Amino acid sequence: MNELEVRQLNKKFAQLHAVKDVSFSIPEGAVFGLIGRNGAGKTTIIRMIMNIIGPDSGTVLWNGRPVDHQFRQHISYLPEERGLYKKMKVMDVLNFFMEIKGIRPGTVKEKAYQYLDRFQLLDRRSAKIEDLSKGNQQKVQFIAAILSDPQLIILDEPFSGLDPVNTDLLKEIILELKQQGKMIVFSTHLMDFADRMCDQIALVHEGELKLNGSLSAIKQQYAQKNISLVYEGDIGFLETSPLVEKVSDYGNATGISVRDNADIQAVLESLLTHNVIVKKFDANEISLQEIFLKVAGTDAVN
Amino acid sequence: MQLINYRTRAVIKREVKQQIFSKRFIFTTLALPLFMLIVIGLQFLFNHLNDGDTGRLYVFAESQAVLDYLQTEFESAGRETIDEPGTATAPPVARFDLASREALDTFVDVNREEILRGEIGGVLYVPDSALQDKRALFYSNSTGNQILLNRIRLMINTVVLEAYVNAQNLDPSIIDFVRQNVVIRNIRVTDAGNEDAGGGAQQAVAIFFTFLLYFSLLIIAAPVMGSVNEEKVSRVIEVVLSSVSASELMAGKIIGSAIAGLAQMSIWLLPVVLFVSGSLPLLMSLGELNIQLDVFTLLYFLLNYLLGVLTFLSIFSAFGAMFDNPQDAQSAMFPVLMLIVAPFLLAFTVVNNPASTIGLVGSMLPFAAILVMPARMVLIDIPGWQFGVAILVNLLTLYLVLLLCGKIYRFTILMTGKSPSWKEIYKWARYKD
Repeated sequence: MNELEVRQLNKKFAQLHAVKDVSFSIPEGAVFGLIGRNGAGKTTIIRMIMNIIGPDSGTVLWNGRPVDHQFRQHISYLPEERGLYKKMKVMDVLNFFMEIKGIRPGTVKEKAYQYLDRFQLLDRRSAKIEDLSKGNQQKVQFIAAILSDPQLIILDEPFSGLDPVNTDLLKEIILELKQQGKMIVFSTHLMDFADRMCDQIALVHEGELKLNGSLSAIKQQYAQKNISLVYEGDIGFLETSPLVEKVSDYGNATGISVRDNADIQAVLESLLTHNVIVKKFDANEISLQEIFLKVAGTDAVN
Repeated sequence: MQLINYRTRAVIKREVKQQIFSKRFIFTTLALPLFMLIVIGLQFLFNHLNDGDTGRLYVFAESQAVLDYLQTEFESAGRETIDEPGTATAPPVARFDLASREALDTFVDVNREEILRGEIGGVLYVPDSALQDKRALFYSNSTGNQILLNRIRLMINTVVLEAYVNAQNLDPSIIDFVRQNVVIRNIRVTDAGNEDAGGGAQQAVAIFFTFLLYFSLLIIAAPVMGSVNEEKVSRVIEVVLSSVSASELMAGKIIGSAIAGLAQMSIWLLPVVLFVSGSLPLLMSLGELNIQLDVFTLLYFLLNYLLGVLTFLSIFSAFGAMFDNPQDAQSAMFPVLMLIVAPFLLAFTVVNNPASTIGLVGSMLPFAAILVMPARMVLIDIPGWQFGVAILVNLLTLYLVLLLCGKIYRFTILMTGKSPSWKEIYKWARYKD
């Protein structure tokens, strides 16, 4: 049983305290969302997990032992900004990334061909990277990340730039990896994906860990006294209603916090009496996006 | 942590492959010797074109005796080229004939057109009076061909001397002596004794060595800056660093490039080695080139090159890591290039005067030693301690450069944002890991 534990990580860059006392753990087979706005400290945390940069204080433990060089054999990383050696051929790139993991390319050739085939890239295996489309380069990079059979896969915004068909394919493979007991870490600022894919999350804001735990537990905690509403009409009267604590417009839905759980029915009633057309009314429901905005501020999401 | 392991080996392998199969590498490996051959070939060609340009000569003399002397001299001068390269090669002669002064004037009048067009390169007239006053006549369409005139002047002088000596009824050995040209034997004094040094051949080797080092440092070391920078800009670095440490990556890149550089240098040196060992008899006949190159010189040259290329690879890697776009890196490269260009120029002054103090100092200074010592060592005999000092200086330079550039590389390879100032670079260099 593998487990990754991040314990009280701290990292400063000059005046910037990039990561402050961050602790969380990831169990085997978890799809873990490391979420936060741009510049929240996600990449720094990931780099410390991968032992690329050392923390000022704190430790990263893999199965109870501090990560060392050998640990890198078990992890794979797909950074947000895709990069491959442009002049190299597809198979050469895959072979190189295997060799630096200490894997003989010959032993994974068949597996590489299978993945290339699934991504419809098999006939392009001898093409130079620079001759592939951006989406195809991304697929090659994803294959490079999972081909070494890593225990921990860190994916930074893996779906950006992929068409819906490939996005589905990628999700399918990620779920397969999850079933094989791999640990998958998503680093993302796209709450929609995190909401649908992750079962554990850690929300980082300005270097601090604001939320951590299973997504369902966090939602339960935040969904109390919350209504997710989709409507037509004017709900201005709610602002002054004694039942309502706060109304937040999230664009596609409106979040309404009530003072007491028992008031939820009364809110629905008043909406109807004010001739508001209710299209969707979710009591005690909250999206990860709403939670994120509550915690990390309402300005600028995505 | 061991620096050379399977990760480093994988990086080295990729780097060697990338370098050796790059168009730049293949092109320069072939083009540099070709370029040098062309330069040498052109010189030969121009020398011969000079002769061809002059057209055929008509040689007239007033008396049969003088004409015979002239004919003998022209023919023997034509044969002397192998023994005395570069000296009087007789211009081709269309006709030797007897002529009076009037007949000469008529000939020039009749053939005025041909002379003007250059089909007749010149008409030489040696009257009998030349045996007394050493005065001859030469008709041509220009007066500018000094090379030709000098050759002819030498030959006529020989003819006049010979006629004069013959007239004195002297011993034939005296005549032979008079005919003999002066030959200067160029001897280089060394520790091991005195060695014949063929005309300028050692200098040619010194220049050749200097060029090879200069070009190779530029061809092999400078592009590493671009390749490191590309890894950083394209973010490949982030993926690679999730498997390989920054030190391993840098070491692998430097070692891989150095291997490619050594391969290229060996290819370039191969003809020289074959030439010196006499395995290229064809080239030997090109001229009387007596080159002294021993195994020690070649080994020193390669070791010196290896240390040099490693030093500059480290520097260029650090520069590639520092900047997050190629333009900034390019523009910051100038001071580093000066570390190659300045010693390159210094090496040339050393070629002209290898025993100078500046040569002595330059061959043991950091960075300069890499380019100056090889040029100097083929020209003069150098005491062993100077090699020792030069190697030590090179090793120490490499060590310090690695220490400094390794730090800068590790510290900046993942850093993006504004270009660093020299103050910041200094600060990074002082950071503890």
